[in-house]
Amino acid sequence: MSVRTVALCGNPNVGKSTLFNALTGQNQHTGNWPGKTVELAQGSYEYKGKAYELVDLPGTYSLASSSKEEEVAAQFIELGEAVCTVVVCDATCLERTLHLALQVLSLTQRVVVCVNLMNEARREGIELDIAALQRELGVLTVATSADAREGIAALCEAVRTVCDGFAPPRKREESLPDAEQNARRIALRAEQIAGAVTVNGADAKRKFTQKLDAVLLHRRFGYLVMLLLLMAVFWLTIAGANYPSMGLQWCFDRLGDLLWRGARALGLPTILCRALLDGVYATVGRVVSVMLPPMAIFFPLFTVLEDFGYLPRVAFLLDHPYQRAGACGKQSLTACMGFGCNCVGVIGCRIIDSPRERFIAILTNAFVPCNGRFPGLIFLITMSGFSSFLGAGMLTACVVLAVLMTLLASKLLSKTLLKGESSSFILELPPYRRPRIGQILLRSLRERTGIVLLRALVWAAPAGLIIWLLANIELSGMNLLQHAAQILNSPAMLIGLNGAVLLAFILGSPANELVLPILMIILTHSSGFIAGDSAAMREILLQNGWTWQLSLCTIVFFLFHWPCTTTLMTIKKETRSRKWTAWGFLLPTAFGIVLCALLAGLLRLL
Amino acid sequence: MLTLRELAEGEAGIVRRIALQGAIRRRVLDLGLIEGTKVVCLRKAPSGDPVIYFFRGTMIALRRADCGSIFVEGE
Repeated sequence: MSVRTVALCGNPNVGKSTLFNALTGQNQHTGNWPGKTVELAQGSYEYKGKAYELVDLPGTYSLASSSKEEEVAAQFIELGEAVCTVVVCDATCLERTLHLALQVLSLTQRVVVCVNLMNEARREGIELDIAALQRELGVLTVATSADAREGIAALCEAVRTVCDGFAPPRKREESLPDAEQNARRIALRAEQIAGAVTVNGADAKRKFTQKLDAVLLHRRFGYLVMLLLLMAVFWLTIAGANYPSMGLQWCFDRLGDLLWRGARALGLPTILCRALLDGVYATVGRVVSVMLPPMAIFFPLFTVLEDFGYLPRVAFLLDHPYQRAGACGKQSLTACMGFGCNCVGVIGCRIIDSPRERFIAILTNAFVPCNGRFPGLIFLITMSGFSSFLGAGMLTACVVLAVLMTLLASKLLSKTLLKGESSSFILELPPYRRPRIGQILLRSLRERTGIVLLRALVWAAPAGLIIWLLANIELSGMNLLQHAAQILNSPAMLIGLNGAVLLAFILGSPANELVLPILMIILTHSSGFIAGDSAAMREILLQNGWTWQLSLCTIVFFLFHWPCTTTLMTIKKETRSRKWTAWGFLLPTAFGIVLCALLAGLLRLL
Repeated sequence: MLTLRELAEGEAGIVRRIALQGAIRRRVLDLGLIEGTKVVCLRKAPSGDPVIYFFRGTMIALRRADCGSIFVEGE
């Protein structure tokens, strides 16, 4: 049985990924911001005994190949890789999304036009005559609401018909040789078709979106609202994560006890048990219990904002400062992704068209703290005894500092290594949509939290073993960790840290969430991770002469130091250059060293 | 003739000439912003740049610098 390849293409924000999921069942991330899908996601499904391979082409506005994604999409369709191309249009915004359909129709006739988001259009009082649209376009046209799984069967049937060799009777849309003339023709043709098939038009101004924008994008309060929203997200994360974290740690400890007993009963050699349980198991347990609760709260909240359509508004509000830094406003979107995970942020930089600005965005992504660093930052802030409200304020200040440094670094780059002016910027602001809470929970837990956690575990397990070895090999009365910390002490002092903290940062390179647990091992001279909640951790730090000055420098270094190894590997993959990867390492590190040295000097003066 | 950047919030105009060059010109045309398109200036960012315009059923933010090369006729 041969597999039939079907391409899925459409503008950003038309629910293409939801459709993809509905068809293939493979859950792929969907987002409410332009240009989200950057790699070719594939999935398969069966229909009436035939196997179909669905290729999710990047969301593009046109096939004019002015960006990486458009090039990919255009090539895929032009080269005839697919037996059938499904073009997804947005029922709430038909005219606009018909542009792409018309472009595709001028390349191939083996097309199914899928008008998605029908339920949303109904809610807005829009009524479309799909039969008339099919007559106008001359190809099979189906109406769907992918999120409610409406019309999926009809879509499968239409795809089957085309794959079975159904040839539309009408000749393809003509394509004019002059690209500009062609764009004009398509715009007019889309206007004519949309006018002909729209029974009831939209409330053209989108009152709800307008009203909300009046608040969220307010001249004076827009930034304030943005900061408050950010603070709210952090506050919920901090306030909500504490108890589940403690509970998880308790569970891991109990399970660890059981494992120990089991291992003893089996008569396994003690040294092996200790390496596996005190080393690998304890590290993994620690990482999970520190990371999981904040992520399980942060990612869904973040996804709500994304699904709602707020994130492009952030790009709108922040474009001006980025423009002045010689960068692209969309960089604020990739920075937002970076809050979740810097790797995701670095990959997301593909939405930036200009290569110069894309490189700036890639190199500065690690300037925003990722989810691996948040728990550490939160701990360092809360250990100073701030209330969760004040703590959220402090954390927001950290984020503001991170964004300011991103701008400064971007400016530096566009004045030196990546010289140039900020290029043009076009951003679509989708109408606000009611976030689909159930889907969001499932999606963000499974895809974001799951993936990040899995990656952390993959790194945490071997790192746990190495750290255990370092903590257990003794030379002249001190273990290797202590030796290393001693050696690092004097350089670390220059930047207001101490040897133990710097060593924890170095050993924590595989995953930033390891930094604090490692620090605990070094400070307690223990041979493995010690059980304990944040109160116990605080106690350990204080016993070791921890000061608020040290806290402050550690927070700054937490914000600005080398990206984790996974992010570095992602930078290498995205830039395809060792030189830029090296810069990706050096830039945040240099910022961290300079800032910490300045801060340490200032603190000494006080 | 005015340019797009001279439209105040809430004002509308009909595009008469697009004097942009290069990639941005293609992108603007691809969005359906062509001669004869009605454009409404919806909202300016706090700093006055970029500006959200409404045309062909969509909200698009453009930078002031680019808007200076799009000529419109007041309605």
